[in-house]
Amino acid sequence: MSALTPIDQVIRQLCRETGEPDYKNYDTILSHVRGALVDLQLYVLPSVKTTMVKLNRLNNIEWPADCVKPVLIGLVRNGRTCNISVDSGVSPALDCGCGSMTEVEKNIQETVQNTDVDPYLYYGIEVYGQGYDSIRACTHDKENRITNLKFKLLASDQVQFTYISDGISGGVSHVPVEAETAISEWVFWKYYRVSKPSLSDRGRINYKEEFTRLRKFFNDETLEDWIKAIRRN
Amino acid sequence: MTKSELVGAAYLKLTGGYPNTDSTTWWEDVDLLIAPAINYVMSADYFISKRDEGEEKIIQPLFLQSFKLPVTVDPITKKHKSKLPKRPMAWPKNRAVPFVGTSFDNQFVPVEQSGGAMQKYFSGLKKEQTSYELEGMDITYFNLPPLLRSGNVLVKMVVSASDLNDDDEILLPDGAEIQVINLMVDFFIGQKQLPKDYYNTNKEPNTQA
Repeated sequence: MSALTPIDQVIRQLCRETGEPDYKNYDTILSHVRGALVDLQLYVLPSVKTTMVKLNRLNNIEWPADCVKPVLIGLVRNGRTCNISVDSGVSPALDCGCGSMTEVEKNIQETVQNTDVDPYLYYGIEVYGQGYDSIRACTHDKENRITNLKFKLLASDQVQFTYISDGISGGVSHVPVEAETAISEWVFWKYYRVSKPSLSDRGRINYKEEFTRLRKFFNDETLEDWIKAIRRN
Repeated sequence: MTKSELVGAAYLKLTGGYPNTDSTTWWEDVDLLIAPAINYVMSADYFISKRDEGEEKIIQPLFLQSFKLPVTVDPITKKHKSKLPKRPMAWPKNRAVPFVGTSFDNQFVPVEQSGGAMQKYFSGLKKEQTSYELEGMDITYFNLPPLLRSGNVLVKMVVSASDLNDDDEILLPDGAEIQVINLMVDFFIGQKQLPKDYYNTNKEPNTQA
């Protein structure tokens, strides 16, 4: 068993299961699979992407089209990265570990301190968990999909932008095997909403179960747990 | 049976076994109406099969005919297109054309009715798929692989009898030739309009018994 299944295979299988062996409802099923992926990737299988971004003339980072929520924004200077914005959901283990600063990090800190930003920026594990943008080096504007930096970057600085992607804007060619059942149940839920409400209800209930099972699957950490979960499929 | 054999059998029955030049019905009359009769029987068989198979909308593979079609480029829209050589049966959702693809089982996926406008939203999810839209006799392709753009596309379909030649074999459900002949006779002698169900349930063939 491979860890990924082509999305085409999943859709064709669902077309057949819904009574169209010649795939006449391919696009409808595809749009429902897309819905399932969005739901699962937002809540169960977050797809985290990292990209280097350029600032616009107003010192703003424009979010990529598929960005749902920024997670980390890192300032890259001379090959070292320091986080200037950390989402509350991120584990402190991802801290850059700048407790003992190098020359480069001191340099960055000075740049930032000159603009009244929290001086604990690079020591502040304790500020993690205090919510969105707890270190106040930048502000996120969700409406306009931009992040405004509160200090001026050096010409050589780069910005590393890590975000939760919707997982589909860049295209999807494969889906995780462990999510296949959940996707199927979601499709039955949506596909039969009008024509067969009882089947649709069954799909909704089953999807909830699969959703929970999938979440548990991803929270389990040992290899044995993963193998057991795969075999349960 | 070929089309001319079927016409001959119906004509023989119409003329009471003695075809002659004084008959009020001519061979050409029968020939003209044989196609609608065949199509009627085929459609009835399709709807009966659909009902009997429950959820699954199948096409009898024995009725399919295959054609290899060259791909052309529309000079204005630059879209890749093919033209069907014969008219398929007019069944819901183009089900009379169950296969468009390559000879190596790479089956293209159909675009649903007026779904061309939606394709741009699906492009990220259908990167590796070729889609086709069938309207009238024209097939328009989306995302056709480069190697196929100068090659042939395989199409399998249930052909409407109106496009058949005299010596073409008529693909009918076994034993349905009698139904076609009886239909022809009914057309001309006017004793019965159209027969109801062949299962004698006195219902239209495409409704639940």
